[in-house]
Amino acid sequence: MSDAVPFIEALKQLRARGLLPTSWDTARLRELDAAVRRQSFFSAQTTETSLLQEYKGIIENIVEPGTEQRADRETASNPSGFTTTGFNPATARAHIKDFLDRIGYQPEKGKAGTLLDLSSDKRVDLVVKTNVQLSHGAGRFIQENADPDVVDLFPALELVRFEDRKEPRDWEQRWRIASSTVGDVDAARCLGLQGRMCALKSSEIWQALGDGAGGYQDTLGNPYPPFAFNSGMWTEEVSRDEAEELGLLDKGEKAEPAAFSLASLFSKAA
Amino acid sequence: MSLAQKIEIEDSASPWLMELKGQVSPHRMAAEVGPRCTRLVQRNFRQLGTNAKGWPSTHFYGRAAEATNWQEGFGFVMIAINQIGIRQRLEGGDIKPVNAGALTIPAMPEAYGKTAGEFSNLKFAMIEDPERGTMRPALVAMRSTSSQVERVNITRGKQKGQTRFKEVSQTFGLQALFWLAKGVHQEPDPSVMPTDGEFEHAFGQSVDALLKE
Repeated sequence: MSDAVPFIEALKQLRARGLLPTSWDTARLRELDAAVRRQSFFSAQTTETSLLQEYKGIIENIVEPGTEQRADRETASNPSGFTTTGFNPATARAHIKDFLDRIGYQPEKGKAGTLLDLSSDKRVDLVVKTNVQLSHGAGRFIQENADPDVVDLFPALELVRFEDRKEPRDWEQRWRIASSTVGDVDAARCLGLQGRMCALKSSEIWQALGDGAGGYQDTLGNPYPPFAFNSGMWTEEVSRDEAEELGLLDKGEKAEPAAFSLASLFSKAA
Repeated sequence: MSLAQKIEIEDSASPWLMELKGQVSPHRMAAEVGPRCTRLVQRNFRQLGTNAKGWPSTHFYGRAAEATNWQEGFGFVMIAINQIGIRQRLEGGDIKPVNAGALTIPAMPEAYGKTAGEFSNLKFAMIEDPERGTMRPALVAMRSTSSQVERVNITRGKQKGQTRFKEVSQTFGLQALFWLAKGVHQEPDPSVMPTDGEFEHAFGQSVDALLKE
């Protein structure tokens, strides 16, 4: 087993995101251009730049944990005693709550413990989780689309569940609506006949899912996961063989990447 | 009579070999192996169950699947899982406290995935561990009522065969939220990663896919 290597694309995208303090709530933030949201690091109704800076540091540390060598961790398969160090969700939450305590934050009356309380477990967990996922999702999206060889060999994606939920949202219904909105008959047929939510990387269905086609208000505006807050859904790459078998692509047909400017993921918001 | 047979040699192999070389260039090979093995590792994480005690999940393996990516080097592909704790689960070993006097091990579902510092009312006590039947040092809280989470198998309806968590109220006196330990030993868990055979199979699929073109 080797020492960790950084998830370069995810890190680069995260580092490019500028801090955006805002008093706007989630509904109003949804009105912002999706590109600006992708290029900014923000949290609804968080005007404190230093808090956003703390969050960003934590997210960066989770996306790229540190490594140290410790004698007590030396094993036959890890003779150098490499140990991963950094935040996990619990220590991240403790750190943010401690920071808010230090700056004297008090939740508004009647809002303690809710998502509107910046120090509530729910709120801190949501901000950390969503931003880590956004970085991972953007990083994988770049890996999936930037290289023509990867696109040729793995021309499609499948929407699958990575995390169980007590009350899962109906993603098949979202898929049907999104495929009909963008006119992706193959994607709709794939679900109807095979029971799988597969579509070409170049399909507009991915952006439609992220835009909440059908009127869903929990989405994040991106053509990559997490398509919605706390959804537990993610994408997996589908090989050319499978994509051809599923009827997404004719034999030997040229595959295209997502029609999306990957460079914009590394730009600063205007 | 002597016999001679002239065999004409036409080099039709070289162009084919050149084309083949292009198809299996190190970069194209990486573009096949990287995504395929990333998917293999992600699928393996997705198969791994929730925590052994059946407590509400922190989605450790789901998060690991999301953190799985691949990077191409000179002549190799590296599948990376950038998540704290994953190497420890795979390789096992001793865990000792670093910045504290003792490790805190969750004793209750409500402590799982949290740090002791997140609770304001904890006190040190020696208390019986019902699982071991022995007294253990613990961080405890005085409770009149407490929420327990019980795992329930769903036997009917659309979610039949799945499990859900049901909240149950119980009354207690002193309740251990965290057991304290000088250290713990964790056994290696090779199931965290696909087997060598599974990687070999995926590699074989990559070779097939490239040669089929």
